[in-house]
Amino acid sequence: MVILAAFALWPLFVLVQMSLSEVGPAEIVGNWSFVGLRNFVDVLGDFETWKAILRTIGLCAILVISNLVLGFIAATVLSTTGRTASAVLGILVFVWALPPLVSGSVWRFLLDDTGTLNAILGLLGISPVNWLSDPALALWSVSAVVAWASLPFSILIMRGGLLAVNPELIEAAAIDGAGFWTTRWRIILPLMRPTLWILAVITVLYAFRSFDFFYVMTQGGPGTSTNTLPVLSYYTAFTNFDMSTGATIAVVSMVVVLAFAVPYVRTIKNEETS
Amino acid sequence: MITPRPLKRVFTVLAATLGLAYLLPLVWVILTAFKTNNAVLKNPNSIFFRPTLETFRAVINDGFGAILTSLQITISVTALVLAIGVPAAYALSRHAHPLWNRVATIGLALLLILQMVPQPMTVIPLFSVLANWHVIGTLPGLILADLALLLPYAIIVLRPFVLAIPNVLYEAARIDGASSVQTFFRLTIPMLANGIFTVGAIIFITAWGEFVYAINFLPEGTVLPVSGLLAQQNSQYSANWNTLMALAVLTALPLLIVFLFAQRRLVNGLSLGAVK
Amino acid sequence: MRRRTALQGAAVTSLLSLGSSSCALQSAPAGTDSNGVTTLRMWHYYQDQQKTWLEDEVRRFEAKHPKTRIALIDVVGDQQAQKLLASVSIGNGPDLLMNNIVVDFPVLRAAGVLKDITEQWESFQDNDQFPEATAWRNEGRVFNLLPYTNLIGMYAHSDALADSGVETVPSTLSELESAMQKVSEKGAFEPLAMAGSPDVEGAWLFAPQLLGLGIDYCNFHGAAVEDAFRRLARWRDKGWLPQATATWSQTDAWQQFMTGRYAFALNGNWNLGNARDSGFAIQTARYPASDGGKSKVYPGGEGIAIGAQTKYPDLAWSFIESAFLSAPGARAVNTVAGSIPVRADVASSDQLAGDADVAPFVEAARHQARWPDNERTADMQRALGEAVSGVISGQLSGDEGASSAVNEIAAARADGGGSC
Repeated sequence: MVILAAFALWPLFVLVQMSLSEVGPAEIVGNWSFVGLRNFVDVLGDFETWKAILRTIGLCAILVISNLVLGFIAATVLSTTGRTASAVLGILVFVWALPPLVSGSVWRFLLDDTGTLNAILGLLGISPVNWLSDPALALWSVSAVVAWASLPFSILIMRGGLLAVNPELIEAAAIDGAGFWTTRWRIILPLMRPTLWILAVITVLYAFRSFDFFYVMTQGGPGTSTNTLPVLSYYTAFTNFDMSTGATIAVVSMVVVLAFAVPYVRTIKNEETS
Repeated sequence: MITPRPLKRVFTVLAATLGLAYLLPLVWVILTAFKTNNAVLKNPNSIFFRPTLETFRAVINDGFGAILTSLQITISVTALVLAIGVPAAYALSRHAHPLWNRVATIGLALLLILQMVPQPMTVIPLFSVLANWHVIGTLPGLILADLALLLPYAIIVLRPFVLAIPNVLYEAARIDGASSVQTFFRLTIPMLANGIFTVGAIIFITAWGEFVYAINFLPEGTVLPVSGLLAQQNSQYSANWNTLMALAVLTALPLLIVFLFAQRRLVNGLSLGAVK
Repeated sequence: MRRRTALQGAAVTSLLSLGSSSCALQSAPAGTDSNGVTTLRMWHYYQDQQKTWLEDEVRRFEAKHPKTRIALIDVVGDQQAQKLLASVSIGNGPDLLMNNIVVDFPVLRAAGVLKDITEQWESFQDNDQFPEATAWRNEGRVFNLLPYTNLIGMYAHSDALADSGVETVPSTLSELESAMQKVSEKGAFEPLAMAGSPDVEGAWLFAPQLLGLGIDYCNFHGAAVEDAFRRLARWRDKGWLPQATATWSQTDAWQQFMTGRYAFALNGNWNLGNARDSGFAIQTARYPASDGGKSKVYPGGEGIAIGAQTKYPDLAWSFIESAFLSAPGARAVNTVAGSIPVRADVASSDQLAGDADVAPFVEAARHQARWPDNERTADMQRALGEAVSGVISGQLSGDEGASSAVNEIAAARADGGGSC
């Protein structure tokens, strides 16, 4: 346990150290010269970083809404019906198991300006939309695909939580005359609060660290319009192995996320004191 | 669970809609896997075409080897994550001492922050650590790296499941004179069945798709795991869409089997829990 | 109880898999064994025909050198540079490697991955067959070779040309513009499929519009740069370049051309085989020259290098001579993999110069531009790619694109020490 913790802490330590040093390709093997906060001044002085923070928050908002709200509804639906539910769950798991490279590529074809989605819209008399290449739209299109891809995970967790709710409580509520949705709202939702928190936290973390769908679908483009923080960090760190700037951006996103983590830690504390 | 009859119908419709939203892209994947590369290039979205099994025939050997590699990694990682993660989540949620509370809270916050380090950036530091321990380029080395990556995740997700176990049961166990180890095996684990299966499934699938560590830490010249094999299909020169999709279908099959198996277990586990 | 047996089962399975894997997943042997056979480890990321070519060359070499084996080790292209850096940091770099030279040469050189091969190159008897640009130097020393290239030119769909009344394949940008005008007025075909993604590919497709005027990453500023970006904005505004171009990679753009809906494509020689199977007639030409300039493109493709940590530099060099520098190797790389060798006697042979479709690419390879010698070359390309993609998508106007590219490229060049 201690070894694992050390093992997991080590990269974090290296990351912070990198962000305070000058690390290019020549320095990866060897000694790093300490440069203080210069990397942070550079990164925070760049307007593009701030735009990337906003984009990441946008992605984050979509994911939280989709994973929590749609996730709860879908998990409710799938924890009650019989055979349809198993079939749908099977499909969900199958899709979830496809790596982002595959599902992202599929959506690139479907969302292409001559792709299937536009063909369907055409049948309805709607003119084609440039989902991925319109700079005003691309971020939201990719976010929607990311939401689509992460929903099965959220459904699975919520469904696990729902099934763990003691059925006697629900029966008791039914005997008391509570309707279906009242039971969901008054009894099940509060019981699932820890699960919901976890999901919210995981979702926020995911929004701030995943870049694979952006990498596959838009490479951060068109122009710079889908550069979220992790995408920016990835390209800075690995285009030219400018590790220190990449690390700095990663540390900045950690700080942003810490702001989200505060309420979570507080609820854990509350649970424990109560 | 009791559901009112009209709602049930609405739910079936909702479930079917959801299924469709995921089925249609899946259909695209499957159709493409049965096309020739030329057919994909000329008309990627066609529905009517002469299907060919050629692609599957071409990838089945590579696919099978990759599945074997992936299974070795994934089974080991999942088993180890659960073996360590379940007691850890239990320890972090069931507590007797206020000081322990404090430690647990800080521990969880740390776990959260750790999840933020972008995975590609951990490769180079981990490489030298693994080399120091003489496990670089070995399967145990990769498993260790995956473990460090996934364990925090597993603990965080398992925690609410542990918290959901009613305290009354623990008190009853204590009154019965059960030791804490006995309580853990006789009470916690059966009550956590749902959580363990959920988390196990998640870890399994994540480890299956993990790619950055796998291609960096595996021995040189070995059969790449599924994730690595898929990544190889796209280069700056060409994209073999049909091969990529055929491999994706082929390699997702074991996962589907695992899931179907786990789902049956899940239902069993539930009824067992209800009897108790 | 059932739960416990399940868990125990899982534990046993995992132990078994751990045990069995120690024999299944093992590294390829390296070094010299007891029979005196030396194995060199060569990293590469070739697939399909390119891999076939490499395997053929290994076989040819091993037949002549019975005491030497070349173990080809597949790596994933995107991840190779990182893995090289990490391996070298623990002293386990490969003996031979192929790399995406135009992107990662400065990085690999700076990180000490590549061996200095100046002596070998300069004493190589046929080196006068190769243009100066074949040897990649840093501070005067040779570290990497690019003996055959992959580069871009223009593909034209013959029926589309006939349909729109375009008589000859355009050879200058203004001819291309008037041809696209005709195609677009006729309306049966789309004018142009090219990559415009915000990365090195978008940059690599656009840079030739300036290279012929003598403008490269080292002097990227001035009126010509603005003109080029305005031209790109014009293509966008007239609808000659679909907005979707802004996220297309080369393979996406090629995919679009292969649907048969496009009159022109700017793409690479490696697609020639594919184009001949397309079912419609195609013609090829060099990348259209800028008005008042020449047609000039950057060379691309895989570099070959010796790993800095090899114990067998002489054996490694003899493999390079045999596979990459010899005339038979050069001929094979074209017939098997479709790449363009620069070795003069092969390039001027009938096999290459005599093939009307291949000839434009051979010409282009002989008059290739030179990449800057700067640690931040990849950042410069990314900056240009972002500007190109921004303009095509409408995120930026032509002038905004030009100024963004000029500033970002200058900044990256300065970060890399200012050398060129």
